[in-house]
Amino acid sequence: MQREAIQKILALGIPKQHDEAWTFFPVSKLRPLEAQWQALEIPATTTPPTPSAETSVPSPFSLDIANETDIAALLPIAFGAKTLSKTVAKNAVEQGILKPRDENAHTVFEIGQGAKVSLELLENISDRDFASERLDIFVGKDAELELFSAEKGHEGALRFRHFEIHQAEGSTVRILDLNETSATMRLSGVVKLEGQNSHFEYRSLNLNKGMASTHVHLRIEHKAPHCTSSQFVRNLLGGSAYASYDGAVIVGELCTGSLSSQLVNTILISEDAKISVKPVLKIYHDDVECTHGNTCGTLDPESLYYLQSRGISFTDAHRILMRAFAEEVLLAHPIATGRERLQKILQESLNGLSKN
Amino acid sequence: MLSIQNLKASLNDGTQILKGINLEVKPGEIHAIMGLNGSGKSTLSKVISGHPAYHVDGGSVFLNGKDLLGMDVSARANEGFFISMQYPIEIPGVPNVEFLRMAMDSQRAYRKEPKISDEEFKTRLNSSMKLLEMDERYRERGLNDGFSGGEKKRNEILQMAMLEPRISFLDETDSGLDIDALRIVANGINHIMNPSRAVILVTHYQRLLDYVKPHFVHVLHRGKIVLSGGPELALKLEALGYDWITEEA
Repeated sequence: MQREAIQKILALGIPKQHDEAWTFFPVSKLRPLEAQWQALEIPATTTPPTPSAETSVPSPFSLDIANETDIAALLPIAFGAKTLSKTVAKNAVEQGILKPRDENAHTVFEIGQGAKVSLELLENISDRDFASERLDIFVGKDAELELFSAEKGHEGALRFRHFEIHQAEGSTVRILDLNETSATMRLSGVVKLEGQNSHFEYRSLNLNKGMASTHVHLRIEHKAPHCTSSQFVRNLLGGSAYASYDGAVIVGELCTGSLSSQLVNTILISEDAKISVKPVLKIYHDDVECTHGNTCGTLDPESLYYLQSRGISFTDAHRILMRAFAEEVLLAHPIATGRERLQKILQESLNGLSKN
Repeated sequence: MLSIQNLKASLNDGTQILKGINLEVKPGEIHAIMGLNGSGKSTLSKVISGHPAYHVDGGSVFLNGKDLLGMDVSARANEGFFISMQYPIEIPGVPNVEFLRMAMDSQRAYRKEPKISDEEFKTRLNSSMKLLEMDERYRERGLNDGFSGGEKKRNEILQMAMLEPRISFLDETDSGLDIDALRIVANGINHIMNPSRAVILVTHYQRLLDYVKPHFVHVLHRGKIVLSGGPELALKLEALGYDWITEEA
């Protein structure tokens, strides 16, 4: 896979601003990487491991590198990440933590039919300024997966996380992210709702400060009837932070009864913070309900005044309103494991978020 | 207690609203301010509380000898000035009870007192909620979130009861209240009043003044108090309207 990934990256070259998937990303930050991947030694061909028969979804090792167009999906593999494979047995109930072993990581999960899994993704705390991670997740029939993570990238760091999720009939995946960062980050993902009645939820809270530059690029593909998906993102942007959200929902021709929603709310705490949002809907069937919404503003001055009129200081009023705004994302997450963990982290994070 | 001298204020766009307000309020007094829509009643309450949409062009406001206009919004509240809003806003995600406790602790911190104990807070909250006949579900709901107009007004008086301000400026507290709610809210105001506190009521109708008896009634017209009197003035306004005042002014 590494060989193919390197060849593909070399063929694709460094993304340009006019590449649709990289429109908002500061592509100049990729230039230092270019020299690194051009120097990569192409290994000899390797034999792929035998796929598991436990799930009814495609094998994780039949990655379609030849047709991959997003270099973020290829970076960890090209840079030689060792693949960690994990299979969760049919009907098993598991909670776990996934910690990257190196600055480049690749993990493959196969979740068996009817299994229930809660997984915390720990941040790649490599001291290096560059880290990339890829997750390939195959969720079996009627299985449930909760993924949650809290990231704290430092200024100057460049972080990539890419996931590809394949969901079988009746499966549910819920992702909850809290990013408190000054780094440049790109989260990209492709979710394929391949079995009917499968359900995907993505919730993300971004607390960006300093020179943070965070970018989400998601593709949710409804490929079977009666699938549902939702994306709910809130951004609190301070300092000179920049965030972008590029979320697409693609509903296929046979996908009757599809439901999807996208909602992005942003509060700009400082005058220099910026946000770009691009919802994309590609619908090839009539019997669907797909919604999208986007709001952007500052903390409501009337709310600040109201709290202050009761004796609460401006600083505390500010913090109260930020917390109320932020917590709604977490409270909407129905699984207590991730919700409660991230609520604790949020409390500490808000104390460090300011206009600067 | 509260001394307002020649207070002039404008909207930030320069529109002058208050054109020289003079008002003295002593402890134990209840004052009612009446007037046509747009006469400056709500503006007066907001200017005293420090609303950022207004600019003070001149005059002074002193509370117990302290210059309120030189303080920020929270300091004015912590000095004992309470404003009950005409249209209390909704703040989802901030639980009512948590907010009340933060407000009380902020005021205590200002006075360099320790935070309120769990027991005292609980006792006072239970007592105030009982006084205002408030439903238990108010406790965990977001601040005014999804409240009806009447519930919001009742919640304002709950805050007043908990914070025990020196002077309360109640801006059309009776609007949006049904007959029973009006009686309950008025009862709450009367219960909170004592000889060391004062209340200024803004209202359009005599009905609130049937329950909360004012010592003084003032008519605000085009940014000035043009007439002051006793409770009988409110009855006259109810009977005759404002035309005669407009003509005299």
